[in-house]
Amino acid sequence: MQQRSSSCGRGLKPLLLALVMAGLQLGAAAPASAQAQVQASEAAVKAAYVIRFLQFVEWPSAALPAASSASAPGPSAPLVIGVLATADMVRQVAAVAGGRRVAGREVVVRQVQLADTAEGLDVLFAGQPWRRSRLAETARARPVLVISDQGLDDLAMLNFVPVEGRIRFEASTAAAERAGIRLSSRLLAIAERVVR
Amino acid sequence: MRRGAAGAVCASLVGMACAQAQPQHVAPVPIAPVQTASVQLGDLSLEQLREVVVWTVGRQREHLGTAAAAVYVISADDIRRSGATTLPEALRLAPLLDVARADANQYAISARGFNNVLANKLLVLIDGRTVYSPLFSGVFWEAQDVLLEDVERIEVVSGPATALWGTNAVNGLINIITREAGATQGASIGTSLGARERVGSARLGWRLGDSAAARVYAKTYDREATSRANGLSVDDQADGRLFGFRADWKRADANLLLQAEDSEGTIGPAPTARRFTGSHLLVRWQQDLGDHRSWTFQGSIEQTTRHHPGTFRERLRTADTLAEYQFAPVPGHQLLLGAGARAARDEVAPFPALAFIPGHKHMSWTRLYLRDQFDALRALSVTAALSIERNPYTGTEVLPNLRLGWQVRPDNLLWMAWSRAVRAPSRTDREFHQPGQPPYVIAGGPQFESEVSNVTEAGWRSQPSETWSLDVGVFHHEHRGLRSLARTPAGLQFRNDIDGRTTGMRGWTRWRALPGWRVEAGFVALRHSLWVRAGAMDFGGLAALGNDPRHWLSLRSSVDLGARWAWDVTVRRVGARPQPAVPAYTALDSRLAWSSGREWELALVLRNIGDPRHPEWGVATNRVEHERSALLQLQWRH
Repeated sequence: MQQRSSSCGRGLKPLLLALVMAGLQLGAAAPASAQAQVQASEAAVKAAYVIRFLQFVEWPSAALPAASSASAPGPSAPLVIGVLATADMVRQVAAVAGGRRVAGREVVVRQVQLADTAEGLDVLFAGQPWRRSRLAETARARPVLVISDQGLDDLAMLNFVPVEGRIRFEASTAAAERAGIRLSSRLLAIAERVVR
Repeated sequence: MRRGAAGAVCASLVGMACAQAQPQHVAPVPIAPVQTASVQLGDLSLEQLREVVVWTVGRQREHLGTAAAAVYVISADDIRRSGATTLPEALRLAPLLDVARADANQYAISARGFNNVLANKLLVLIDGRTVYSPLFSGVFWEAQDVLLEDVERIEVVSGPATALWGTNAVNGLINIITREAGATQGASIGTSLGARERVGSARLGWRLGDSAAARVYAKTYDREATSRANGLSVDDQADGRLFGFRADWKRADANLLLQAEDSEGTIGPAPTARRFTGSHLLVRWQQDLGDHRSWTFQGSIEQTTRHHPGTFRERLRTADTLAEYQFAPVPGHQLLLGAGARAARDEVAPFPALAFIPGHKHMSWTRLYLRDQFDALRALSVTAALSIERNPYTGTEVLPNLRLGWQVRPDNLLWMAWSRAVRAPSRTDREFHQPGQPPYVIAGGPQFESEVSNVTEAGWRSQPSETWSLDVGVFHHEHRGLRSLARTPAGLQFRNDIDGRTTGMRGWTRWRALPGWRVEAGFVALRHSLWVRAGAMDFGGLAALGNDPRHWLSLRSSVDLGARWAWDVTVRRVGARPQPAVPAYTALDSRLAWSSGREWELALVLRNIGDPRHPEWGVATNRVEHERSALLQLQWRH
């Protein structure tokens, strides 16, 4: 098909006007706009987050077992993560955790059921509805970091939310304080929303 | 002659680029996600994890983030910040698409050229449900509406996607995905008021127990007529409404979607108003079976009607089912196996001006498709896909596709793809007659076969720095058997006597200049070279294939001023169209919004600020011009 160009100069003035206006603009925080290059399954991303969160969280000192120190060398108690989710999710968390250490402690992953107790857990990932279960009741009384994708409630301290095809998270300092757990300010800064 | 009627198909063969829409199943571009092992994900920082695009097993087709393809994702934020009130206006945000507004309601939208009000080479899906008319394999854009506030994203793919979706996705795919019911809780009311249009929408969402949620929604609109350059109105004022319902039930490993909607619209003044209605029911079940296995089942039923008094009346009933199974039988290979069946009963009443012969027709399509994704060498991912489709007219078509993606560096993807894409005949190609009784000027196309395109594409996607990303590519289509009009004793008939090629390049780039200022630019440049086969003659078919500019580009600036104010400015420039001649134009739009931070948002949208009026489509004597307009938008969310 033949193409014929018509007057190009006509639309130039508004174009220049727009560029000038754009140049005069200043701004505050804007969302990152880069298109991600990495693509992965939802479970893998959540599993990676769970392990990554560990370095931004402080448990109350009373809860920590006697850590190894120069005067009392020896293996310190492992950090136990309980996963209430599909077997695939447990595997994913275990795959990311494998071989890593957080604050000198080895990371151990266990699958838990609704009827289990939260005793012995340092971290709990709730990947299915779990309110009014034995797990929830026992987690309430303990300094367990509760991560969930079921929504922020009085127990969950970190909750995954899908945003535009990506997984982000929101935080609840209220729930964390009740358990004596401290969420680092860096974590809160990156959260989509913080409930206080 | 009004462009509106489907029978506007070739009202005048010479000089007017009438659209022959043909039902085509446009396939979405197959994705080749570069699968990242869990261990590598574990090395990412929190900031990096935030940016990982997620594919959910079973919904893999919905997430086209890093596909070895030309994919552009319009986010919900982009849509809101543009002030778009209709789906076609939201589609302007994709630099890959050529969106031309023909009048107050009709649009000509395509990717890779051959644009027409009844463009037939693009597949459009809303929540996985194909929306097209088998009458012409295209979309009546005036009849497609969604609540834009509840759209999660729109994925636009340019290039053939036939290997997964069949013979309709020759030039691209648009996938409109709405938010899950769980993400649209509470009440939301919005309104846009302007001299040219008024839109109101409302939604109410609630939870049903721990694992389910639902929403109901409604939208109503009212548009003023547009007018020609001489000031004469073309009487295309319109109003319409839609009601809908969506429920989602989710478990850790499965989810169920149920959706129903009913819509209707009217165009034109009372006695001769055109009317269209649509209603559908959609159900989808997806289940993750662990070990990289999942399956999906989807079923939908739909009825649409169109009535142009004195000219055209149609009722179309469609039932569609789809089943997919994803599994990894061999380590490293992710397979997708799918089967789909679609049945339609189309009833078109004959009129003096035009007729489809036979008027009533049962049509069915079945397809089987297979896709394998695997890594060949360490950083090279391969996607091989094949679709075998049976359509009502040409029997079986085979649609292969091969994609290679090379992750040069973590933030650099180089890809190439080859496809054989086919556009099967639609009712128009085979059965359209004008006038409605002999002697015919146009007498269908009993010998019309499929149009075939062999497509080669390549692209490069890169993120050179934290604040800058770009995506560029080239494409080359070899066409065989495009639609032409041949003179026969029975009248003019559709044949496949046009061959040709389309070559072009496209790209976009995003730059976060300052923390609160984001700039995006995009362009497409293409050139067609089409000719009638030796020994054959064409009588107007070439001009009717499409009316494309040589280039179109856009520039968008998004600024956040503090926590409350947002200002977006968009400039787009579209080159001149050849036949019918439409001059090139530049349009400048702006939206300034204030948000209370919690519940309210107020915005002022200004369109066509630079030029008082400009046309985008149509014959000079008959087309409308789009004027400067202002719109006030108010949104309340609880």
